[in-house]
Amino acid sequence: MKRIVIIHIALLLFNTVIVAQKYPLKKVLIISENKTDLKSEASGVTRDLAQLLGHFNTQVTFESISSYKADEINKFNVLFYIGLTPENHPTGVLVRDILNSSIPVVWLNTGMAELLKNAENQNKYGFNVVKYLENSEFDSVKTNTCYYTKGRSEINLVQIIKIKEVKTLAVAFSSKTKKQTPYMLKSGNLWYIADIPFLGAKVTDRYLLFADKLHDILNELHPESHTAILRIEDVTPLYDPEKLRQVADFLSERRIPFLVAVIPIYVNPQKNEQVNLSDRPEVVNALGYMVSHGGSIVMHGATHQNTGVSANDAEFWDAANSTPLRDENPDEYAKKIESGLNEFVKCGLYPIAWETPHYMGSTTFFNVISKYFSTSVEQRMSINNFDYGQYFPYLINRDLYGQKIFPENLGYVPLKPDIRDSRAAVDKLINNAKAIYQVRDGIAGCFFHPFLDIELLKTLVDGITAQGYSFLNLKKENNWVKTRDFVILTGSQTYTINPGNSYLYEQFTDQNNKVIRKSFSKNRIKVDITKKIVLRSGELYFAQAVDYKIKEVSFKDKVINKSKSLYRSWFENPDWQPARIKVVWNPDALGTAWFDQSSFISVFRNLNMLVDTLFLNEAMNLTHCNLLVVPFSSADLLSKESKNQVHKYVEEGGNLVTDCRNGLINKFGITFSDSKMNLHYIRDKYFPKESITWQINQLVNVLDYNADDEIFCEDATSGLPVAIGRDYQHGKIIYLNSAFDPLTSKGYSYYPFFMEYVQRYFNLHPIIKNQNLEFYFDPGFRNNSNPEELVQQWVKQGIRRIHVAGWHQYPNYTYDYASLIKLAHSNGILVYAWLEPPQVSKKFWDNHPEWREKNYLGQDIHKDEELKASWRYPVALTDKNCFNAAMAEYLGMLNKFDFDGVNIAELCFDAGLGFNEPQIFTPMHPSAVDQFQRIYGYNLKEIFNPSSSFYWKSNRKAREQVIAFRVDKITELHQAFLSEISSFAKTKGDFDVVVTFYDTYLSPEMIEYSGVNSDNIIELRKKYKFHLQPEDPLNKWSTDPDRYIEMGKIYAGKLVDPSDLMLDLNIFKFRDKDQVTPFPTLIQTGLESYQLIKAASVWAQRVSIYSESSCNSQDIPYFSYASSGMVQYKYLEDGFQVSSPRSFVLQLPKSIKVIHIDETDAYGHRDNHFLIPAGDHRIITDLNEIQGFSHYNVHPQLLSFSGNLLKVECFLQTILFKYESEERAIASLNYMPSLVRVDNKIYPVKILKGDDCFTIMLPSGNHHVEIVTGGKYSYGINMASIWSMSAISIYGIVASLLLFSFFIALKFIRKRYNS
Amino acid sequence: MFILETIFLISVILIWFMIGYQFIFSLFGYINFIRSMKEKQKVDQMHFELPTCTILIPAHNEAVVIGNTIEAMLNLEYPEGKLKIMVINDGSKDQTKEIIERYARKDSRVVLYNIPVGMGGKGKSRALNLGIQQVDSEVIAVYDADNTPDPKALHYLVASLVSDKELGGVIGKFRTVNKNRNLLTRFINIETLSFQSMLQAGRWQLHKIATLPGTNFVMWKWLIDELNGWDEEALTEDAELSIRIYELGYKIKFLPYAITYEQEPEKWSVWIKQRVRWVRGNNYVLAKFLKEIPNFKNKRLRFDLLYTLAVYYIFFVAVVISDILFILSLFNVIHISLPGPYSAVWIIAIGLFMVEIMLAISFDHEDNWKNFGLVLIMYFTYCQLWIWVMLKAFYLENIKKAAHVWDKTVRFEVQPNKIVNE
Repeated sequence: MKRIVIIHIALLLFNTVIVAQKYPLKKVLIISENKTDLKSEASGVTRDLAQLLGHFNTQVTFESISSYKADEINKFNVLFYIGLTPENHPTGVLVRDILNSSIPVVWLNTGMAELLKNAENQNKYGFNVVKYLENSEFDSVKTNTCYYTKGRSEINLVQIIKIKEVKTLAVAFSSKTKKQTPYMLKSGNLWYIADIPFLGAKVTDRYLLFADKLHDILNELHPESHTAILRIEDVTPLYDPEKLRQVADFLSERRIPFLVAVIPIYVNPQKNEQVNLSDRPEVVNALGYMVSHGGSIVMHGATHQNTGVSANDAEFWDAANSTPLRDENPDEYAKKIESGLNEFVKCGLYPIAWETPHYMGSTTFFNVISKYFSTSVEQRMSINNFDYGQYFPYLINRDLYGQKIFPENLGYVPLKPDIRDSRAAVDKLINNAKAIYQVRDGIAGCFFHPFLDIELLKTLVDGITAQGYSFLNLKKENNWVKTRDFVILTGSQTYTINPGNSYLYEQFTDQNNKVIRKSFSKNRIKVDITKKIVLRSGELYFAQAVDYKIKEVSFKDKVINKSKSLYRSWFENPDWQPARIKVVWNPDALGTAWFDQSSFISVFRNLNMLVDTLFLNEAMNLTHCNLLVVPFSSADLLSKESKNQVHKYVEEGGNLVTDCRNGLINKFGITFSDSKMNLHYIRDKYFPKESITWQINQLVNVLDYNADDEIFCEDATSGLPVAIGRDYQHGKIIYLNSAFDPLTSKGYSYYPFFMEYVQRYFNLHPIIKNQNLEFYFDPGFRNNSNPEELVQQWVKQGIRRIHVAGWHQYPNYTYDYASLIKLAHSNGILVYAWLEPPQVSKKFWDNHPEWREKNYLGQDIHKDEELKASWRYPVALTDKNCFNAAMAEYLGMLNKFDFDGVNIAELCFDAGLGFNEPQIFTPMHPSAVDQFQRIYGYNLKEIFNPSSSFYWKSNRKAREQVIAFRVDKITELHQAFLSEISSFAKTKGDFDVVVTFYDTYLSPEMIEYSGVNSDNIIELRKKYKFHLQPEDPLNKWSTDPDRYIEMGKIYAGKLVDPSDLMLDLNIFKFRDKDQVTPFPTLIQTGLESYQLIKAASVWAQRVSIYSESSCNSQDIPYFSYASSGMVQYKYLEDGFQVSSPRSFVLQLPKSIKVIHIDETDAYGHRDNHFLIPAGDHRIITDLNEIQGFSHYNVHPQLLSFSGNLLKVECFLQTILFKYESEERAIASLNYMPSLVRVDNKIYPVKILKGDDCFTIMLPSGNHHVEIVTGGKYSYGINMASIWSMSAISIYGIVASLLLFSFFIALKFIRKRYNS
Repeated sequence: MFILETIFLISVILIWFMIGYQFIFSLFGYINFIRSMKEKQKVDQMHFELPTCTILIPAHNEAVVIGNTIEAMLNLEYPEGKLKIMVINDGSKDQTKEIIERYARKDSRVVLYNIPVGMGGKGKSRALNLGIQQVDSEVIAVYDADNTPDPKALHYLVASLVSDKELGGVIGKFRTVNKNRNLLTRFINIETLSFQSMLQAGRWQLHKIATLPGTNFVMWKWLIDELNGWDEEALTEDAELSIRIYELGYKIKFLPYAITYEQEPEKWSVWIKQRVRWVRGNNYVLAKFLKEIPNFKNKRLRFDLLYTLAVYYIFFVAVVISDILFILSLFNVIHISLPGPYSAVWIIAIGLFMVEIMLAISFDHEDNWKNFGLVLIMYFTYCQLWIWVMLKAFYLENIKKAAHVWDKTVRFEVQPNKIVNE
């Protein structure tokens, strides 16, 4: 029984909810006074009425009294007459037709007197209008059951003649005098309302009575229903996402669906600020969360502002002047609306209704908006006058512009300083909802700002719910949003779109905002297509014309791909392979085509990878090649046969790189759309933080890609892929959808991370490394890293020397150089003290104001940010006392800590742009001024005195004297430094000295700017032994990296022993966003950085790089490949032939554990590195060793060595090697040495235990070393371990197999006994 | 410097020595199984003149299970008038006595023997020693109070005993009746099956040695008398008795087709208690015979005992040490670098373990995928618990010096329809 009742109740509810009875169309004529101006009261009230009639199935015609023609009334089902002024008179024709007609006639306000002017007519209707009162005492209207306010006091006093025939439906009432007069009458087919109920209508007004009575008038007796609407208001991209989630959580918990009014673009013109929704993914996510928790998105303008700040200003109306916007233009409106809509779609959010900012808009605007949105949720201005902002008591199905309008009529909760005021406002809203409840199918709508206390929201929704309202879920209504490019639908319906020769993308989301289906059209569509979309309640449909197409992977393909990759990972060798590259070369290519193909060759050769060229017209020999590069200029010219060969090569497992839409690539299923895209900003998928800007755009065709393509980089604005990787049969392709580099022959202009693509996607690597990298290290930039991890990282990166900043002394703290040195040494890294005179340390500068370097005004250099020439705190080394004190500091440090060398870096007078920046021009310390005075006889400061005869601009000689003086001083200082340090070096034994200075051959301006002259520094080498390390100034850093080849060549030519040359490179983010350079990145990274290292190491054996923290960490591992240019090698059938003046590292795939170097065994360590001594060697890699019983890692091995290894031999427990090293050498071994002999003499060593190694120091010079590791015992255990474990493995495998075969056999044996 | 490395290497080798030896048992267990299939076929066609036999069932508070057990005994196929079922009630405080009496009234084969007040409560061996004084048959059989033997089990056991003069006793196989109850019983099921298929069957086949399991075995009555019954001090009195039987020159045969079903612990706490008791019992046995091992007449028994000794001490120490070293090096406390295919060795150990167990349980058709998964899990969980059991036993024995109290294993109620009969 109970169950039946429940079913009945359910059915009843069901009925009330879905009643959408079809009522017959009624043609309605509205006649009003002849004032058609869209600003006039006449059009205001008539259009108000027409809007209300949109709730019913009506078709409205407007006419003025004078334009009414005889018998017209017969064409209509209902007639409304609105009298605005007491003076209006319906024409005789009209009066006659009304008297004769039987259709309902509704008369509002004045003019009735004309109809009732004779007694006959008065008799017919049974009442008379006695008098019109402009100001009356009547302030309310009541019916038998309800009570309304009356917004305006004007009224027509009515005298009822025939009480029986006239039905008084409502009376006007004075709350003061308690008098009353008939207000709404019905007599036969005539309805009379004694005023115009639209005027002065507040929320509780008699307007509601009229609106409700329209059901009776039009005989559309809608069933009773009470719906509420809650709109979360004014959400901009700046909103706090947490608040939004809170609101969503609360409402979804109460099962209350709601709307969110979102402003997709926030603009603040004062601050020149614009924030798009897509800039705030966290807000986008929060909005998505709201949608999945019952929210529906309403677009609340594009920016919700015209000239002011978003959300404070009307957007489509001039609120200040209360007029439409000046020169309003429907196209501009459309553009703005579309910009907002696009922002939503970009974020994957789909608005389904509109809300006009501030409810203010012109008729022109509403006309535009109705083309985009089927639905609005708001109040409306019926004419271009904000006084006629009209609220609706119920749903307007079809307004004057054809839109559906859901009402907002309760108001909102304002933010008040006192929460009690806000609470009062909530109560008022709840009260207003009671008024709306008197309308039989009323909808009570309100809005709420989520920044308010959520308690208020709770009170509000509870108060409204308690009255019997249920909340509207807009997703379940029929809505559409359309632009030329896309359409959003809720509720089943039909739409038409013309994709304009694009693909049609369709997507279905369910109630919870989850995509349940998506698809692309098979082909491009040019014509209008009409689609009938059937949606379940709450589902949302989105269709967009898109220029590209992601090919969905079918289920079958997914299964095949998955099993393929599983198969590969299990059975095929997942190991990387040394790259063996062939590039197809077009000898006739010119210009961009030549640049492009040269670039490909260059970028591989920079990492010492072997590249062969295949001439275009030659036969394609692709044996021993695992990477084929076909630049676009060759791709188009390949013969059909060659193309087939390339195709077959890839099919069988080869790797192919090609660029720029060409005649080869479509053979691999890559297709293009006709639309073009201008590529400028690129986002790399591996390094998305690195901003890539192509200095010269490339215009390309958009490419169609597959969902399972690997995307390497994409257009940052549209997200369309620019470089992709694709699996094709057994092989792989990397395709760049533009020329690789049409601008230079070096390949660095467009795809900085190309090598990452090759390495990661093809698993092809370079193999020759020079693991002797030198880096600057400033602990100040590594405050949060622990030294253990840093050193570990450096070892991995192949860093052999670290130049550590020597100025980190502070009043209460000095950097712990001792433990850094110990850590570095134990892991095979040498440490140099990096000094930056004339700075000693900030502490020194602070403690000695008397020695601070001065400018010509006597101010301390670097006393503030304005007065500094560099980051340094310079002191006056020209002062003898200062120099001695500084030297004492330096030597103190060198004495205290076990540094391997010193780097006297950039000893110069930092002076910006020389004489042009007098305020930082040095030296101007009294000591320098004194010395100058003594030599040249005048005051050095005079050169900046415009009135002096020594003023630098006017006195050329003085200027030159100053330059010469500075150069002399810098040279002297260098000499003084070298002299002190050389004597220190003698006491210390092996100690390396490096002098770093600005190059003045290629940058002669530096002589003036810094006082350095390269000639003089080189000259010092006659007296002192040091490594010469020039560096180039900042203004050169954005020129072709090959500048270092030139620089290296100049200096090498000046040195007796070119091996004394080092080069200093600066790599950090120094480029300005707006600076035009040939490079796409702000820091030297990827291909550019490799080329820098490669160029620098052409002439210099040692290259030191600033700094280990400023370089992109992904680049550093490549540097050791890039600096291995001195190694020549070629492939042989079973290995390599190598030749190198210095020892180097050969890195091989993991499967090759053992190799022979000239008949000697060598074993891979760390990342399977093999240390190869200098000289010519034959290396055999195909040894087919049985791994198990191999004793390879029992032997002692050199893991790293800082000097130049000349010969290495390994024996069971001994390693013999020969080396040369200018400074003390550091050697790391895999086993602990128990005895070290150098040149056949026992050499006492301190053994340092590193992470995975044991390290010892060896003397400089040319030596033979013999190292014995471990004892017989450990060797025995090791051998026992290998042999026993190998034996056990074999035993275990045999035993398992045997038992398994028994297991199978038993199944058969059993049958015999069971049968 | 190389001490840790040396210890680790020796541990791994020792562990593998045990694994290797276990493989031999697997192999012989397999041979034994195939031979037994043949033997059963033959025995089924033969006729035997069976001697009189008394089944001894010690019962102490067994009301939950005793009824089922007696019914199963009554179902045994044994010649009329030659079988007696003697239930030894050891001072039960529950309904045990009443239930037995009810059966005794109904069927004359069932005999109740109440241990006199003051003499009982000292464990199973005491109960058996007292019970056997009441026996007048030629052969005795022992079953635990929770057993449900196959109807032909006793027939097979006695037939085998009388067929070979060298035999002092014959043991059957026991299977787990409540194996599907929970994870623990599934583990125990796999464990007991493989234990019997490898260590009982394999040892029998290889050395002609098996150990009395406490249930489902038969012996000559005169032999018991000659040996003066069970050692009441031993917690694993059957293991102790087995050695003495061998020392007297007789053998104990394993007969895999004489099957009984018994209950296994369903709770981890019960299981731990039981296993600790076994370990302590075996310790006792080893200690008792340790000095005599060199004087053993049966050389194979000597070897066998030494092997058991090795399993319990050397192997255990090796496992614990290698585990500790492994964990320490995992947490970077120590650093062991030894060359060799250690990961392969490790994986192979698991692989070999898996095949051995799967083969062993396949004899009883338990080689399904579910058990395959369980065996894999067992390797890392159940088997490791053995370490805990050993430590606990060591603690009780040597540190706490707890008394040897014969804790009866707790029984669980069995639904009769749950009894598996394959």
